[in-house]
Amino acid sequence: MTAPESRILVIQLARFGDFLQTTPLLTALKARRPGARLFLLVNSPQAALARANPDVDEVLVADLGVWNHIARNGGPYPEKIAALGRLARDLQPRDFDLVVNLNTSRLAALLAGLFRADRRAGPALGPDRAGLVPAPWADLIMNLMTRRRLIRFNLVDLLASYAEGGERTAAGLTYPVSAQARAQARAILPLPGPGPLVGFQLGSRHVSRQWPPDYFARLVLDLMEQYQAQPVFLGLESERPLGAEVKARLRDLRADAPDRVTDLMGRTSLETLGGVAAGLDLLVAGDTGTMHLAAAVKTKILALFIGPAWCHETGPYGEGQVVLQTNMGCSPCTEGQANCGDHPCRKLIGPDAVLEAAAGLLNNRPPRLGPWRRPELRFFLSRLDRFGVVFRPLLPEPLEREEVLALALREAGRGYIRPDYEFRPDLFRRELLACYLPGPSAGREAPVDLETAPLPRILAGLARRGEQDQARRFVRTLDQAAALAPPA
Amino acid sequence: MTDFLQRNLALVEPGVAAPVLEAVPPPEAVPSRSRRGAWTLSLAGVSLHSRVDPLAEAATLAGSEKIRDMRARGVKPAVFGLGLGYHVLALAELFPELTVIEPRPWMIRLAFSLVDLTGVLERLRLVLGPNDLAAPWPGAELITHAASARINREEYLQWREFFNAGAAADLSPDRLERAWGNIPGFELIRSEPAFREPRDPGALVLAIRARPGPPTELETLVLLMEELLSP
Repeated sequence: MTAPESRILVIQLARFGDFLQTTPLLTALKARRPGARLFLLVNSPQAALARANPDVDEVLVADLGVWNHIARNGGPYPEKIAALGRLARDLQPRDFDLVVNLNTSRLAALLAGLFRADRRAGPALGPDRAGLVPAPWADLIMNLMTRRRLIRFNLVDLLASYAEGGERTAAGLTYPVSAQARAQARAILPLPGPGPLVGFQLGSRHVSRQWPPDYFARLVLDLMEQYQAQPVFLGLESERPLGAEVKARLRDLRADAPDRVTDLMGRTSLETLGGVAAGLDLLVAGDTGTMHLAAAVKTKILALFIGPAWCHETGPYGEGQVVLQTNMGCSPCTEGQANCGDHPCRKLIGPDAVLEAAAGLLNNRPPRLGPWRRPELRFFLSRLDRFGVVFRPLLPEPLEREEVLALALREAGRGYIRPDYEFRPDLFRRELLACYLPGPSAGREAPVDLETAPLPRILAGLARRGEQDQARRFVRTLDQAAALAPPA
Repeated sequence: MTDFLQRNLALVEPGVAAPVLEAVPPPEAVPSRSRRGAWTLSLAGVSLHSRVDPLAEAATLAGSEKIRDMRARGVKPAVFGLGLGYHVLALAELFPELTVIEPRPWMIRLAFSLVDLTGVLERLRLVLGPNDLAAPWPGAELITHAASARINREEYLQWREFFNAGAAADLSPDRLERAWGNIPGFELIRSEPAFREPRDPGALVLAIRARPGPPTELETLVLLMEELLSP
């Protein structure tokens, strides 16, 4: 058995939301290697965020803007190489026991190669220097991506798997809110009133993920009138036109309503936004960085997952968060490639359903969403189990064969991603009984059809890498889990 | 002012013409006729050109293997030392453009006064000092007029160092092969004009074939560069 690593470098060059989803890995690394020094290499915009993380001992900053500038403007070719070499040598220290690269980009793999390491994890440059050799379990996930409806793995838990060990270590994402941020937030938020402070993240990175502005307006007005809520609009400066549109629709419903909105769109730094999120009683948001920030500061979240967004992959990490997930036959779609016109799934989640879900969260009671139950719309509650976060049906629902396959793949995949993870048939059966209705459902007449699943490709991948034992264990767990489903 | 001087000066830029006009050759610079009739020059007893046939001497330099090799490789020559200009006349028949480095304006005045250089001056760039040259340019190599290097030893060494640094920036294919091809872990398989760097048309792109084993730091930096430049 090798000695535990004492110097570990984690490379995370992605944006704010992705960085937040990395924090449980950092917690797990420190928990499993108590004496280790943990270094984090980030791009310069995330430097302050990285330094605030309590699990990180030292931050290395690569200003990728400077690297790009040198490459494109630095003079003759060898002079550029020399300049890049000087930048590389500024990144100290260079010797580690373990280097973990979290980014699936050739650039990140090359930067990782500048550091000497006894052991490496994560995507690495292939021997041909062109392609990337992905993490061992990446094949599994990539094959599942051909049928995303079967994915039951959250990105946070996949990243945390680099810390090894079987079971979950972190209780959630980490984002320390400074006293200064809280004070800044208090200065711009409304004074406490009789009703809750409710934040609305109006925008998303793509229109296919966005809830319609008129629905937001309806929800804001209903929360104001029925629960005396104080609405706060959040978002980027570039999203302010969307905020103006929501306020215009709100004015159509009630003339003075927009005057009661606190509009903070484009008006907060990242640090202050953390203070604002921590000060809210509830955040209504799509799959956005703001949602992950709210999860990190333990604010209640009502998440609307629409179009390409799939809560099992990127849902809010933590206990007790509510997700309304569109579930058309085409869900989840591929961003930017849907040919459905104006994305009809955006209107599947009505304001009334969201209002009831919000009421349940604000009053610490289960939302009563039965009247809105339909196959194209699913309601989930987040839970933390031994592996990570799971999104369980908020209302017991029929157990369809696709769900049986997805859950069986989840259990088999967990054992593959973390070899120390042990499948517990008793706990799995208990989950099934708690979440799904007994008796036959319309979709359960036929046996689960494994041939239509990505399973053959997954097993072929395992065989190709010579992982016979892992393949056998995968199939064994798959069979066991599928067999535990209540009989049709 | 001699007839040659006036006509030669008319073809050079004012930045060179002005100091040349103001320059006064030292008394120890003594022009004289060679045996074959062309002017030659000695400076404190050192002959800058053949006392027999300076034109033939220049032709011999122009016909040397080194010069033939430079022509074949498409090198742009930079000549250290004008002297009286005979070797420049000979080299101008072989290269479409020439840069001549002459640290002493009085030498240019002497050459302009004694030799008709009007046939080449339009293709000639005269450089008095490093400030006249923005940067070593890719593809340039230094040709040394030995006599000029002897009488301008310090300047010659500075210019040689200047061009050696520029040679590092010289990206001609065979230089790349020599400079980069022997670095462990890194094998140059192709060098070609850089289509990704339109502002630096003289630059070349390196295509790298990996050798077994992890890449060296140099190879990693080169690969990083390529990645950063990719669209």
